[in-house]
Amino acid sequence: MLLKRSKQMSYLLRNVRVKRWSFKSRREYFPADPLADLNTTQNNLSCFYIDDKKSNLEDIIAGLASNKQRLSHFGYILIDLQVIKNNRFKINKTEIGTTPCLKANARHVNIEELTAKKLINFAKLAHTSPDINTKTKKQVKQLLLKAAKCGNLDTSKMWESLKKELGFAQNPTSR
Amino acid sequence: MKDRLLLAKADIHDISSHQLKSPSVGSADNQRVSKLADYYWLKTSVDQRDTPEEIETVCYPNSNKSLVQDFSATIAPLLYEYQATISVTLEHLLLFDLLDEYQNNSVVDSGQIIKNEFSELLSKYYSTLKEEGSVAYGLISQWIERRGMPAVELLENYINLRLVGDNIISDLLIALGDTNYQWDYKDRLHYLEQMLSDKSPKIRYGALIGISNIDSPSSISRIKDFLKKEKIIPLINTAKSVIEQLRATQKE
Repeated sequence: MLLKRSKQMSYLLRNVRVKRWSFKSRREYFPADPLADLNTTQNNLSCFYIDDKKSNLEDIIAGLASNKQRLSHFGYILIDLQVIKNNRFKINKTEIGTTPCLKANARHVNIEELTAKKLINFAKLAHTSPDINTKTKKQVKQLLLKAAKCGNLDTSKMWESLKKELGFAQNPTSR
Repeated sequence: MKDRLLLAKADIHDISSHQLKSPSVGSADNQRVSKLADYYWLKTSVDQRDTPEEIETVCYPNSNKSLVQDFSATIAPLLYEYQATISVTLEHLLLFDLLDEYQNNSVVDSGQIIKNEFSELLSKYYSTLKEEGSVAYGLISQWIERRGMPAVELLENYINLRLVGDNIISDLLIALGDTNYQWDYKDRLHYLEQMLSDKSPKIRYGALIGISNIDSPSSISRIKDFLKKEKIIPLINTAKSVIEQLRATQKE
């Protein structure tokens, strides 16, 4: 079950609440709380593809953070894509993401045909990742401002409450 | 009860004796403040450049220090926050409530009002999706901002006595750091730094994020100490992320 790093690694990113994953797993013990971060829709689990040098990590975080109502810290897990494949999880890239960030949307993938048992296995795999981390609220703000400056965010799709915190102009047509 | 009301009245008269302008309040408590002002003709004047310490001195040049201690701890930061608009502290709004209640021959304790507000917040917290970045998530930090020191004290009490679970304590610690109520930030920072030694990883996580929200580079050494002992990978990574932020702040 332990993650082995391959030479050329790419990853899948899943937005999580890091406190739920902050525990030491023991042989017969795996808590239920992390499963709350793995909500599936039609047995699909939404993730985002991160390339081997993590060059698009900030774009993806900005994309997901721009979908929130308020500015907040952002927790995530990066899971080695090869490990996912080795454990026979089925990945589908056809459905694009729905964040206000086009760059992030293009990197959306689904892990498909999940069962309860497979989801628990996925959680156990994810927990062994060395890349469970948090971007602080201030860091997230900087990423969002940078993404907006580069024109990567469709601000009309962002919550007014978040835009207000970021100091963006109000848009009456947006949500 | 009667003594507390007299005490409040004495405090307010102490301020009004300085012959200052009539109140114009920019807070959500506008109506209640106006009502209070009607009662006591509460007035003061603060220069926009005044720091909370200076405001405190302006308000209480000749007062008995012990009498005004609680009052100054709350009114000065509020006046500072509103930058020269006139405001009244929670303590006095509550005492005004008390006065109302007293006149109606009903007894209410001011601490109880804050407790009730907090209980209401917690029930909202329980009944909503507590996803990071949701509006519900920020309710507690907004409440602290609005209510100031009494709210901070109550919250710390809930944490110390473990009146709620680790998951919630973690979020309360995050909220404790995530407020614009700057007056007591050093106390809050100290409290959060202490919580880094808690046995619960969830609570240690909340303390880390709370510290990052306060954004004071003075915490770097404390987090470095934390890193020497911490064994849980997500917490180690998060602590490094917080140090990275604080170092960047130090350079600004």
